Amino acid sequence: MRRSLVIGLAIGTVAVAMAGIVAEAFAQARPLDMIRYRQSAMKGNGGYLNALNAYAKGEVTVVTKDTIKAYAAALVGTSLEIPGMFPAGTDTGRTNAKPEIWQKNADFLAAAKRLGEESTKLAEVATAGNEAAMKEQIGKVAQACGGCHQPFRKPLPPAAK
Amino acid sequence: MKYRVNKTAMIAGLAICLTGVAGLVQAADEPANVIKYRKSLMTANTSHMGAMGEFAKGTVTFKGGFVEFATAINAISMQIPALFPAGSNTGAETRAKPEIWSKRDDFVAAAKKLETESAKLIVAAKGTDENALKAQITATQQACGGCHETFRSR
Amino acid sequence: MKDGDPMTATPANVVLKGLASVFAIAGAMLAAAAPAAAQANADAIKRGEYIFRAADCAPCHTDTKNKGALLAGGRALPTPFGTFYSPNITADPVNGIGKWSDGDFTRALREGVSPDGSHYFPVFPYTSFTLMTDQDIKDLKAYIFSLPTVALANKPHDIGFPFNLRFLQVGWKMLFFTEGVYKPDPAKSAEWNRGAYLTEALGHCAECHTPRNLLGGMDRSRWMAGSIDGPEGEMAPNITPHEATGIGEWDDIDLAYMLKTGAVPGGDVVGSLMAEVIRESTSKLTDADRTAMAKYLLSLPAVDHKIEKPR
Repeated sequence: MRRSLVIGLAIGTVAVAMAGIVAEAFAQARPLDMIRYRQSAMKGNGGYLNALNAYAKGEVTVVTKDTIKAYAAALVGTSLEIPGMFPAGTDTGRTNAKPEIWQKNADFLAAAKRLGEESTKLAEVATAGNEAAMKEQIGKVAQACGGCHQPFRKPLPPAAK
Repeated sequence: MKYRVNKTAMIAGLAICLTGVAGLVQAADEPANVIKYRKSLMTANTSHMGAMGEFAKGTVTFKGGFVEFATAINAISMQIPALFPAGSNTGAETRAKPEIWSKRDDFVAAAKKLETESAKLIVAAKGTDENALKAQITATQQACGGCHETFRSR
Repeated sequence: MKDGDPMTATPANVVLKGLASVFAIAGAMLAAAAPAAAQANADAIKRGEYIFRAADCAPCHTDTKNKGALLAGGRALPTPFGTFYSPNITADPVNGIGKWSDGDFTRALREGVSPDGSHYFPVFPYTSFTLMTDQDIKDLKAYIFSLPTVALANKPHDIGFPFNLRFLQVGWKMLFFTEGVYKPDPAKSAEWNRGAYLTEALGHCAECHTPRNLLGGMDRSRWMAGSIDGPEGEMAPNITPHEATGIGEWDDIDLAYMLKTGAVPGGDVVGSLMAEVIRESTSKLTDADRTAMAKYLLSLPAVDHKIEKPR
């Protein structure tokens, strides 16, 4: 009788301590902030894509090949960071990330890599400066974005600030 | 003789001016499109500052892509005056204030400030001093705010 | 910031020299007391400068747009009731407040009444400054009086009938004004009380961020919940911790960082009038004070009040 009480107490103590450790880990990792961080990065990509699309559609001429190169470089930069932006445990909360990111992680990484490759090509064609080639390549970058969003992002994102 | 030379030069100058104006007119984009375009780029700037702001606050330690982000902000900053051509104050929803055109020198100076601070940000992002990086992120954000204060409405 | 010591020490020394040459003994006695007084004044000026920043006096009382001198007034303050022009509050004896006693200054801030007994319009946020402590008010005056004077006459307000009738302000005060120094809440922490004092008394955040009724009184049930027609016709956002319409997604780190830099979560950097507040006021405060303000604001009741421009 008394022994079971002691054991019960011990288990209880361990449980409380473990809960404390888990809470502590959460407080330090603060998954919300990594979500916020990567949403910022993705929003930036969206900005570049909108800008590039406006150019590809012939809506603006203030664009130069240097600016296209800069946007492409930023897209490459973000693409390289995508794997690190989705650490395990950041699948809940205010995020549109699908569980497939972690379940089919190799596919996810390949999709991220594709964005890097297409954006690198965009920087290359922008250096060469052929307008038709640039416009063509912008379309491929857009496809790379969509190629990842389709399997790995939930539709209709909640309004993130 | 002297008079004639001057006259010739004047005519030539005028011709060049006219060509220049014609070129500008031809190059001018639809205000609605320019507004859309520059908003996309401001979104990109915002997003980069958002990511870096989290680092500066200390809420994340991840600083992936900062060099590229800073480089892109720097490239965009150099374009800012061209992104606000005369006439692009209307045509689509915009928060651009008339001061952008009525106080053009101040506006160009504010954009230049972002260029300077973002150039320093590239250096800080490449370096290893985290406190210097955080301070420079803040300085860059203040350059953003310095322009928004006078030239963007709520 | 710049140290006030050299400026204040000089007149004291001049006085001392004059006295000592006439009454050597009396002078010697005074010499012991006067530096202490000068030091006390220097301390008050130093504290006052911080209050001056926290209360954000400079922007409204300086016509920065037209390169006006610091605190010389003349800034146009458009409101739904007409355009007000801020007065000269330099220590100039003719155009400014140079002849004001400590009592006059305190009465202006605490009661919204000028030395000649007339009532201020609530465009001057005495409704918030009434919460300031006597000490802070005195220190603030010491600082303002240490600044250069400017002989610039005040511009008359441009407001329509009947709002231009100052005596009506008596009625307004009865309806919308509660006079009195901030009383700390003993149930709350020192940090919370400091945050409340900074936010409500000095920062007077509610003046812009709380919606007003048709008579310009603040809607106490929607405290800090934002205003569609804030100062200069601009929107002031809802800064209560409401998830959907306020800043419920933010934590105190986010808010304190915004007060320092203007950068909000997501990366935008605020502009317009808030940028001025940050540049002139909140960026000059200590980290501890910014955090206290943030914690206080996030402890307020969340109010569902969407601030959006009508389209």
